[in-house]
Amino acid sequence: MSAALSIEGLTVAYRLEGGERRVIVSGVDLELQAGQVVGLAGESGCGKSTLALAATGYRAPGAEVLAGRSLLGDVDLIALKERDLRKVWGPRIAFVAQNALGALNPGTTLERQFKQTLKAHSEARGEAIRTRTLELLDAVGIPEPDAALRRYSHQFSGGQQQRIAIALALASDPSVLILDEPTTGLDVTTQARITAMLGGLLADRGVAALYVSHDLALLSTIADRMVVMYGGQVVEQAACGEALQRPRHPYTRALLQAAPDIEGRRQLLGIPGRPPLSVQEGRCAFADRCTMAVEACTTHSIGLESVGTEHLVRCIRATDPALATPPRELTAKRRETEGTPLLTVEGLVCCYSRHHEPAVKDVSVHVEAGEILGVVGESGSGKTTLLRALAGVIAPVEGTIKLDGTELAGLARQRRPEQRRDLQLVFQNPMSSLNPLHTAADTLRRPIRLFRPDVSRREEQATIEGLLESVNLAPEIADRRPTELSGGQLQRLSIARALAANPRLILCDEITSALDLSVQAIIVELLRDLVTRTGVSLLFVSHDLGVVRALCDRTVVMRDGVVRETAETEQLFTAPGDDYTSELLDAMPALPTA
Amino acid sequence: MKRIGAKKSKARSALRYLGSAVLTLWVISLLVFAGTNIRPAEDVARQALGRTVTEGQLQTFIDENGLNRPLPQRYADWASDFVRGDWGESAVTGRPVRPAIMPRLWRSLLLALLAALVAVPVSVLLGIFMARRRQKRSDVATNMLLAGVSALPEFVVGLALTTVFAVSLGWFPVDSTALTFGSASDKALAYVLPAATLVILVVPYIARVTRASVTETLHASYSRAAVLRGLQPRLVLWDYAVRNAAVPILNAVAINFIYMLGGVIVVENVFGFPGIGQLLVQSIGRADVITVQAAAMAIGAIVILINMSTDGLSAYFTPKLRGGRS
Amino acid sequence: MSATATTPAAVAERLARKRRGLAWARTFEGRVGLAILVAVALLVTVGPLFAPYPPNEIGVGVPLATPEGGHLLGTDQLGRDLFSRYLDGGTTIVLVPLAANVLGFLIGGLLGLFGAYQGGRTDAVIARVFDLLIAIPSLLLTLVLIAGLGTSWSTLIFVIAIVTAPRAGRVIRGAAQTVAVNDYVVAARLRGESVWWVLCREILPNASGPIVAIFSLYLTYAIVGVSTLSFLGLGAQPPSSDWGLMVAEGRDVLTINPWATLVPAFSIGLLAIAFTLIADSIDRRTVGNEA
Repeated sequence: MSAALSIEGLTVAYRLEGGERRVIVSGVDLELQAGQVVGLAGESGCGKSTLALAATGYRAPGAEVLAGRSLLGDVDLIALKERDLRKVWGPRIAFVAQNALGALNPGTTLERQFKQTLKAHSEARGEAIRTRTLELLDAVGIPEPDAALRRYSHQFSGGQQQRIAIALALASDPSVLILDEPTTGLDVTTQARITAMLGGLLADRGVAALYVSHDLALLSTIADRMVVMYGGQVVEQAACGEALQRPRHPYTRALLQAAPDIEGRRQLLGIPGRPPLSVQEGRCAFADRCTMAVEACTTHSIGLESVGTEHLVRCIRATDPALATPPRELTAKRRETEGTPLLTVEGLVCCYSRHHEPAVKDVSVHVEAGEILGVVGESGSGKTTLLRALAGVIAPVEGTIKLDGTELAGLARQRRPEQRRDLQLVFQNPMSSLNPLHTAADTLRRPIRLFRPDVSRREEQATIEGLLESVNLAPEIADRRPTELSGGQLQRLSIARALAANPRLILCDEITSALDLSVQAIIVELLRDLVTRTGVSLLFVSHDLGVVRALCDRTVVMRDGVVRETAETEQLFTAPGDDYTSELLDAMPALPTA
Repeated sequence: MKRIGAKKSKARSALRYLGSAVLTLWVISLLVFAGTNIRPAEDVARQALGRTVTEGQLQTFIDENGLNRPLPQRYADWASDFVRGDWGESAVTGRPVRPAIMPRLWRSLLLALLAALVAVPVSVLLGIFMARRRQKRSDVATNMLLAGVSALPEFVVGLALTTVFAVSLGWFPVDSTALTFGSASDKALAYVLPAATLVILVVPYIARVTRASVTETLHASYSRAAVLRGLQPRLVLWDYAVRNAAVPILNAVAINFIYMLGGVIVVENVFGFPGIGQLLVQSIGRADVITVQAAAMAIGAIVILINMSTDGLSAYFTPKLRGGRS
Repeated sequence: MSATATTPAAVAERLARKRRGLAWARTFEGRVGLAILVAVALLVTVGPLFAPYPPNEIGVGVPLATPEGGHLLGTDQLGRDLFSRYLDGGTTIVLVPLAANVLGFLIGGLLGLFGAYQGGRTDAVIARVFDLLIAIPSLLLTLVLIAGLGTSWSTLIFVIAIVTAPRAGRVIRGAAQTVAVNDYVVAARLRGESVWWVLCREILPNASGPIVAIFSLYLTYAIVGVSTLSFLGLGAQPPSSDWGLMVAEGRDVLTINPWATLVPAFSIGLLAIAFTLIADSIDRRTVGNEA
């Protein structure tokens, strides 16, 4: 059977501002068969998206294909003139991007966008176009397609926007569809519904699809084959189940060990270091971060070798017995906590404005000393609002927050200094939570001066270094500014800033959601370690049930500003007591267990 | 139900625009009145009558013009007269102000309109062209040239044009006195250099804004998605890139229209163009308070009209502003 | 939320581009602007020392002489040497706009920052007042105020400052608001830092790029404004040798001696261009609008 799309030796470079050329993707071979979904995985910066876009023949600004072909049947998209590409884009190959709102024209109605798209590739006019549009909208599950036609993209929810974007991509019946993180940023339940819809559509129409995602568990639910990229190269390629249960490349294995699991409690293993910025020739790109690297890894260029039926691996140690053990083993350990309440919240109601419904409606929770409490929910559940009220960013309308039995004022500035010290907030986005002009030492010095009168000026430097060490940052970091640090380092610095005050409770607002899995694992383990070592309590807000299961002792499930369930984490996952909790758990894609 | 709701919100936003327009006009009137009545009554009278007047003459002038009454009362009288169309008589020429202003106002508006008719299409097309050729050397040079030209004072451009096209080449008259005396063709010629000056000063700004916003929308992911659906580049450029850049471009045009009303004041004085701007500056020099007030209010009213129509058009181009999220 | 938008490497690169102190001076426009500025600064400071005649002395030459007659720019109706007047007359066009701008930015900036920090109703009122004042064309407002206050250098500075203040205030308020939404500002408030500390240590230093750019741009507008008023006879008054006034006086003899008009006119133009180019290059570097 000949492939619907066959990528051969594709090599793509970007030209930077200074004129320097950086090779991002190198020598990628990949085949898509009709009716088959190929998952493309890897950390951000591995070249997945660049490869996906380049495969369509699209010439992104600054990007340049140095070598290779992308054969659609017998047509090479790379060599095609733009005029001819226009005849191929749409009817033969289509693309769905991550941000759906951005992919729809905000200035015109859906009807106009569909009409233009359908007119571009068919002779159909008038009523035929309308009928086809309605069919498409119906196929992707947009309710009341008739009314939807007259609406603008901003009038749809995020999930619906992505459905519409998929309908537009499928409008001219392409035989190949390329999807770049199509559900990233959507809620889990929405993601589950869209993925299911998409799987059905692709199978019905016999479309060959390339599905790019950083989420291995998600890919396992939709992909037939799995391709893992690292440093711009394919490092492993196999049938989906094979790749996830018997990975042969240390990188695939490391990704699996870093991925949180909703199936059970497990220690997450991070991958220290960062992926290379450009393709590294003549050696294994992963060697620097690999636990199994030997000298030979950095001296030769390593080819993609077959290790089984349709299983290719780019590693000289692929057949090492150490790689044959299952990558993940579940351990169910629960930490013991004291059980004395530290923070008690009763009947909390929070509003952002008088005209809106409250974001938090009558919430009561408590955090025990030395405990890690998880708060999970989808967007709009009020979990972040709750956290902001506890921190004193916004004042609650009703209800009480008590710390050690003493009621706290609404806003931080109305609270006493030691109360401000006791509760420290760590923000979601590390880029925005650290002043770009302050060095790490400046950032840590301020809370020390304000909250630690016991530390004299002379001891300051040592305290700062101690704090950096406690979050596994080297002392040299002290003189660096945020621009010189990686996302993981920044988030560790943010945690160190919270620790600098010597707090009793650290409030964490989705602090790993902007990070790669490999870094997320490191942060999660750091937090667990800190709690064990210092006895500080943690309130950990997250949308990711896997992370919560890996880290939290007890978990609160929120929806629409209300607590739906509070339970011991293990109990919540094994025997959910609320319908919504079950729904969330079902929507979470799970990795196949060995 | 939905349609009624949309209509209601449309009516409400129209009312809001109108309210804000009236408010702006009111602020202008306050400023104009305060600006022209800050000084003591004697000063005003002395400046209007000349230096060699007797105390008695001054007093008569003050009484006749009601200059010794409290300010709020004077403002109320002036404002209510003004709204009713009684713009007063000039203390300097002794003639009613309105007939003196109206023909000049029309000439000034015609001048600004002519300039806009040329400048808007030229600058928008130039901006779109530059956005498509971004990063090329010619684009960088054009951008810098435009930045430089936009910084020039009106009188510098006006005098440069006069020197080249009127003094050296003799193609056009040095000044615009023909508008009052000359034949129809002389009159037409008299508009060319003043209008050209305005065009030169307005094009850079609109072109640069257009370039920046079209560049942004052209690289937006919806434009990329459209290209990847195989749509014609022309369609992507106009229906995706330019349409979604319309609001910033429209605002740039509006800002420049308003700016031109200021520019008209200078340009008219460079070319001796008998418009409202020339009258305004002459009247300030002659301390002709009544005329200054009327001329300033007339210009202010036109500014408001432009602002209102811009708001309306912006709303048309931004679906988000037109109806609520459903 | 999204995984790709905040790729650390990408963000770091973006930020690194943002913060390179004087990087603007390395751009082409920045260099041209700076060169013009240095030239004009020299002319204004050292120029008067080289004037061949006292600028206001009447009858040093034949009235209305053209440049061929030994006077570089010719003479005016009173027989004053125009080159000497030119060398002498650049001071006001630099100092008056600068003073007006500083004053305007102080008034507007303080109000804008106060509003941005307070938020809520205070902010809304301040923003509305700014918008109302900005809706009036600046030259119209200037003329109306001049009509009432008369023409002296101090009123001129005051009037231009009043016209600049709401415009500067709006920009500074916007820049401060953009910075204020950052979590490090929230973190500072949560620590209980004073208003002053938050403004001076967290917000202003991070908003300085656009503010400096806009200051430079409004300096252009102020230069244009002041010279235009002098040209209209409502700014500098005779016997001042201010360039704007020189242009106005030379305009009457444009057909006989165009240089008397064009040289000061283009000097004003160049000065205005210099600040615009500098604003442009700073803006592109710091705001990173990629333009």
